[in-house]
Amino acid sequence: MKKIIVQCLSIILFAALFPNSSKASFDVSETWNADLRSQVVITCDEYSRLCIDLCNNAKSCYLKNSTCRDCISTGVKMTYFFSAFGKEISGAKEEVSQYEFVEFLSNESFIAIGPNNIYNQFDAAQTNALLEKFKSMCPNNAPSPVAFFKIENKNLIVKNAKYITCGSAIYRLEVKSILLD
Amino acid sequence: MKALFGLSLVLLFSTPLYANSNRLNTNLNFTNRAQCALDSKKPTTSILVLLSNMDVGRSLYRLGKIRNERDISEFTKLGLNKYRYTVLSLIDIIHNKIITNKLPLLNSDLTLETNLVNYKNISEKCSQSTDCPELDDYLAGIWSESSKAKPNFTNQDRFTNENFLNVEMKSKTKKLNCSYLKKFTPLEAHLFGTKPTVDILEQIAKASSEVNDYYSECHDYKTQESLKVSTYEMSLDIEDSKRFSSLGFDYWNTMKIYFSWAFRNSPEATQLAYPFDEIFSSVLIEDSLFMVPNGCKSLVSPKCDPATINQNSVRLFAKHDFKQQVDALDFFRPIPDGAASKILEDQFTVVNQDILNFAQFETADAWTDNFRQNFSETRLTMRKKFVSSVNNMTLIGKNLKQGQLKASLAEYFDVIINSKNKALDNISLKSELYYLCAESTFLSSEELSYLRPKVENLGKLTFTDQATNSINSSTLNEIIDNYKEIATSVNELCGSFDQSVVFEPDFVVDRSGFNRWYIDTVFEGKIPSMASLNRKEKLTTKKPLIAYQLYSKSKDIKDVICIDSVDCARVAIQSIVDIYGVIIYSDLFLDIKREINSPSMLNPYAERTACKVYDPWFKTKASLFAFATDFTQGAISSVAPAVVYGNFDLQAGRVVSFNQLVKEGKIIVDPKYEKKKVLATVALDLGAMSNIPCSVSVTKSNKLDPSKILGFRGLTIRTCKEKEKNVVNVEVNNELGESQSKYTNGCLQCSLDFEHVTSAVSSVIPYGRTAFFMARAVIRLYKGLKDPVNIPRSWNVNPYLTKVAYDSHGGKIPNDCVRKLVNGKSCMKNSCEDSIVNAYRSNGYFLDSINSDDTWKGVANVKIKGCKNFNKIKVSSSRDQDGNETCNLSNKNLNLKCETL
Repeated sequence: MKKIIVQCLSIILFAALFPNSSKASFDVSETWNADLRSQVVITCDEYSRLCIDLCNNAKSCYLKNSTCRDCISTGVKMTYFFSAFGKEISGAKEEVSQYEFVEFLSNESFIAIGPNNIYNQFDAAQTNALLEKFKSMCPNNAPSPVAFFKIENKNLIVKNAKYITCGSAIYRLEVKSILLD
Repeated sequence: MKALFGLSLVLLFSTPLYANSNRLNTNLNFTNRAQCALDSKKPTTSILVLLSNMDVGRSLYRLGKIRNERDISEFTKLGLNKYRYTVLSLIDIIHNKIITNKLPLLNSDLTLETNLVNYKNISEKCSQSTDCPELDDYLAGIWSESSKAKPNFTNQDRFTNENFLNVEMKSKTKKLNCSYLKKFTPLEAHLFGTKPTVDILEQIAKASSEVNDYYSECHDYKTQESLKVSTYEMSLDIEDSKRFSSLGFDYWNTMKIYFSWAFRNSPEATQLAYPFDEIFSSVLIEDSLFMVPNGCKSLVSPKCDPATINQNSVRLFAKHDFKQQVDALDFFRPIPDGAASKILEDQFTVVNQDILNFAQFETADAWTDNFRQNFSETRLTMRKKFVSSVNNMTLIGKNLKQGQLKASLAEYFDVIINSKNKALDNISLKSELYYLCAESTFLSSEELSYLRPKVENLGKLTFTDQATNSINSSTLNEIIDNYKEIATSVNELCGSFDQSVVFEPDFVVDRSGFNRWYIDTVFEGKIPSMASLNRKEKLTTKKPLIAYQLYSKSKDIKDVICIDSVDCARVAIQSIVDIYGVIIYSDLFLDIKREINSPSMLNPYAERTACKVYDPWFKTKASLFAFATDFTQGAISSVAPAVVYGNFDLQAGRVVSFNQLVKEGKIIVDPKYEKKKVLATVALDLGAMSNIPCSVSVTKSNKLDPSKILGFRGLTIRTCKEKEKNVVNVEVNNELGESQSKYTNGCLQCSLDFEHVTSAVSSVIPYGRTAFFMARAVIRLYKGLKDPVNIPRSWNVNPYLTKVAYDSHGGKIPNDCVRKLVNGKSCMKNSCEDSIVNAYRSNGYFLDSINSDDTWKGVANVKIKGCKNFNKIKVSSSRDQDGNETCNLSNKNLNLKCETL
């Protein structure tokens, strides 16, 4: 009995000291709350960097998401924007550490765009066309990715694509035409 | 006087009934063509606000889904009503700030001297972009000052009294009246006809009884059934103000600029919109809002520039048969002429005769929705065209190495160009070569293409830079440079072989293989294009040269940029044509400048007058021969207008170049204008073409009448049809004076077109964005001078007075009332009733009915609008020196009991 307790305590101690050593899973999504404020929701199954640093150790929290000027439109920029996913923007093959992502979220103005965002004027509300494009940007085929852009002065541009959360993994977004060799 | 009003009557003032009564008391201003043209230079006091909910509606619907709302439709409807409420209330807030001098006016014309130094500097910086933090800060500073009790704007700019509309604050607060418009009716008769006749007056009278069926309160959303659009009428209560006539354009400019800023940034908008404020602040509101002058006057002072002309061509989208007319519209032509040429083709267009087809629609919203749909669908098509063609050119430019292209094309066609084996009859390869060379020559031949200089100009544009940056593409400057390299490679290829050998006598090209743009321009669209099918077929045997990786899974041609080197060259040419087609109408379709649309939809003379195509003061004079046109902003210095004549002894069918005609003295310039400058500018338009010997043709007749003066229309160029090879041996004389002449065999034909005119031709040369081609005779103007519609006339009809006249005369308008009613005067069955009506009206009361049978006894019965009861009033009748009976009412008669309905 003592042995088991000691083993359990050391596992707990170990886990507490090195929270990232186990493959902690987390989920990031973009939504609107009851007050119709745009938000990024972070939830973590195990203790992961994201929740420790951004949620003050809680298992979930909300971050304020930016809005973007002229995004509810069929202007030139938005006409191009969603078609660029998977063609001009894709996720890099290597994962990015949660530290880097936390740094980004804490220090930069960002906007999170998910597959069900309200700015999509181009697909019928019932279709999954945009979701398919999002999924194609994740190397791991995650079900519900969220793209993160740096945003200045509420101006959303493709060039400022930074990261994409693909389930419990985060990848850098690359802006370049993905052409056939 | 007003203090004597009974309490019940005071309550009357605030009912919707009163608002509609006020409307009936506002004159309808009828004008003929000439007066309408004159009115275009005055600022309007009444506008139609067309609000589209489509973009915000789609977002609200998605939001409802995300929020798992129980009833998504109800949620969306709630949001849309909030949206309407925010827009309308914000317009009202801005108006009130202006009218109480809490918001200074921003000059609408910055080409004139202005004391607003900061505003002018910022505007110049911001003219090329939508994202302008300096302007936002400037407006924010003024706005926050405007909320103070005693605003002081000295920190923001040097405002003077001329920047405050109501500086003397003489009169009471002037409202911005707002109604929701249910239907277009005889109460908008001024838009439907010129001189009001008995018939029109009777219709106005009948409509006045039903006014509540036609209008409702702006914020009464129950009556606003359409969720897609809503149509409002707003009018200022300052009809005769002299001050407004000089500051009116500044007023509307200020309204538009502040609205754009405040909708996104002001605390008032956040409060009005809550909880939808975050959503609404993301809307590109300028795409969804039109403010159209309600009549002949303007919201923006009309100038003769592409922005005005293009904006005003938006009228076409209002037509009820737009979808059937689509093929004939300039917007959809592969190489559009541009809106300017359209106004020249239709100089004396109809006005004030329901030009926007209001009568074809049951409700005002149905009309607005038709307009919205036609316009936004076309706009989206154009934007997609711009995005895909710019994107194609960017990818081709980055991935197609020029040296590679040349070598690759040479290799591709080697077997037909260099092969000595005549038996090798590769028709499909020969056809491909033919298509490539013809399309490229048409667009970019140094000697032969009229489009080449226009394409070169595209490369000089910078106003598209923010747009191309936002879509991750090269700038137009880079794109045109890349294109020029491609064109050079192709043209070198096409010049490297003997066409008469390769395309030997028996070779017949299948014209359907040309791209759509070529067929439409050269063969007038008379054959279908199989070019895209041919491309799809190529893909079944080849892997594309430049394509997205997606293609390997999707196998969709949309994911292919180009298939092989020939295809890449032809796609590049097609892309340039597409970009050109969109840029010509960029003011209308691209969201480059963030400004609320405010075209003079109801007055096609706004641009015709500004461009002096129509001059309403024009009289029968010899000065018909000279016209002046105004140029506008931009770095391009204006060139004096050119007046060009052709002398009558030109022989049709003769082959000669334009320059040769000038040398021989056959091209005459009006002595008033500097010949050198004129010819230089005309030559600019013709470009290298001015040296090309062309055959002179005179439209409609081969015989030249010496008494007619010829106007020069232009140079047209055509490629030949398949059997007419080598139609013209084009002799190119080098302008620098070198004596050798170069012969180019080309399958081309050109003609200098002359046309008989009885008057002058004026032409102005395109260069860059701020100029456009304007030419032409005004034959019809000459005839039109005899037309009575060219003498300005206007009439004012007061619907209320018309209605009471109609009722007074037992349900009709007698002919002899017309003269009075069209001059805004009353016309009752006897002059005592006239006195009664006018006395009450001048005190703000409107009557439902009058009974004057007993006036000889000193009494009359009146029923006031909004009251159930009749009132007996005392009148004292007398006769004036002409023997006409008049009635006098004492002030007591204005203090009446009213049992409200």
